[in-house]
Amino acid sequence: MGEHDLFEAEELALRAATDTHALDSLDARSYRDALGTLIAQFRRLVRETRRVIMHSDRQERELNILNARLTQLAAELDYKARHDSLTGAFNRLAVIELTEAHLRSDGVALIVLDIDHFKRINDAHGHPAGDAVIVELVARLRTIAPEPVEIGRVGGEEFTVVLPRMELQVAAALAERMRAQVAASPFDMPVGRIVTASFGVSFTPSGGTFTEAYCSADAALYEAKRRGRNSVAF
Amino acid sequence: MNDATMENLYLPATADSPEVDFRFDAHELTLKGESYPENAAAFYGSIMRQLNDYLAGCDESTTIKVDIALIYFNSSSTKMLFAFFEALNSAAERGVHVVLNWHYDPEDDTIGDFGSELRDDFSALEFRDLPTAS
Repeated sequence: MGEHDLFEAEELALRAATDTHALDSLDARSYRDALGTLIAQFRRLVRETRRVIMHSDRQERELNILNARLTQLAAELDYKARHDSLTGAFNRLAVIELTEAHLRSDGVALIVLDIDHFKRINDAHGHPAGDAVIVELVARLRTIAPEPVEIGRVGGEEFTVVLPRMELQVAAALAERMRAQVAASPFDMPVGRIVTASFGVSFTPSGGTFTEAYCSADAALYEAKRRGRNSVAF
Repeated sequence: MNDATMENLYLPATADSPEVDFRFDAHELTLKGESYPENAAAFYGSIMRQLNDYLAGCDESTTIKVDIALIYFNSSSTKMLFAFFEALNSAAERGVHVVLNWHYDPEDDTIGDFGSELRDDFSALEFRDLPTAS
């Protein structure tokens, strides 16, 4: 119990009542007085306990609400820290983490793509139009990419698609379908014309690094650009 | 009469205990902040001893102004606060004039309602409900 006790008053009352109870030779008046004192203490204890429990339940309810809000905010913050705000695709850091996580256990095919002559779109129509092209491009990629979609935006007009456990030839075929989907029809107004992209594909066996996968796919992308763009190289 | 030599009590607020500013010479007692000390019985126990010594020296000629501005208190602090108000209420019942100023954020219903309960439970105190926007 120590020097200080939260229930000091109650312990004192209990001791006094116990002492009186132990005696069998007191007069009725003394027992009645002792009972009266005990009743007063007990009544106070009940009242206080009722208040404390109500108060603490209420604080607990409020704490639970705050805790749920905190969990939600932490999830939102985590999402924002890992996603590109324009397109909702993974950001560069998330792409790196995602790829390296896959590479710890599996081989990974990586598609890197870059919008052809993007600067011309920005120069001709303005940056908001350029942003709209980027958003539409990601939407077109999503119609082709397998679930779960792991599209990332790693630079201004440069994107990746991470494909764990996919062979190079299969990934290259997928990239070709993506290229065709991008180039199939004019983009929405105000650009309103065909936009194309160049694709590089790599495969990195399990145990490799993101840098290896990225450099290899980027070299292929450079080759696709060199061939005249709107093409896939691997 | 009050013991003129009784020393005032001042404890600065800590991360888990409120500021205690008991100016016995001016009959002004203030508790302010948050209260969830590791050992509420010990924290309030020593405060209560000095409060009881002080109250023993107060009579009908004394008006004590008590200002409570607590924004959070845990269960064991609540238990000790009841003992604190009980001591003040007992003094008020024997004629000491005790004014309890209950300060709280008007948006904090929990503390506001707790004040109303104190008004009901410690009826000898002159309770003043003081919602104050921070």
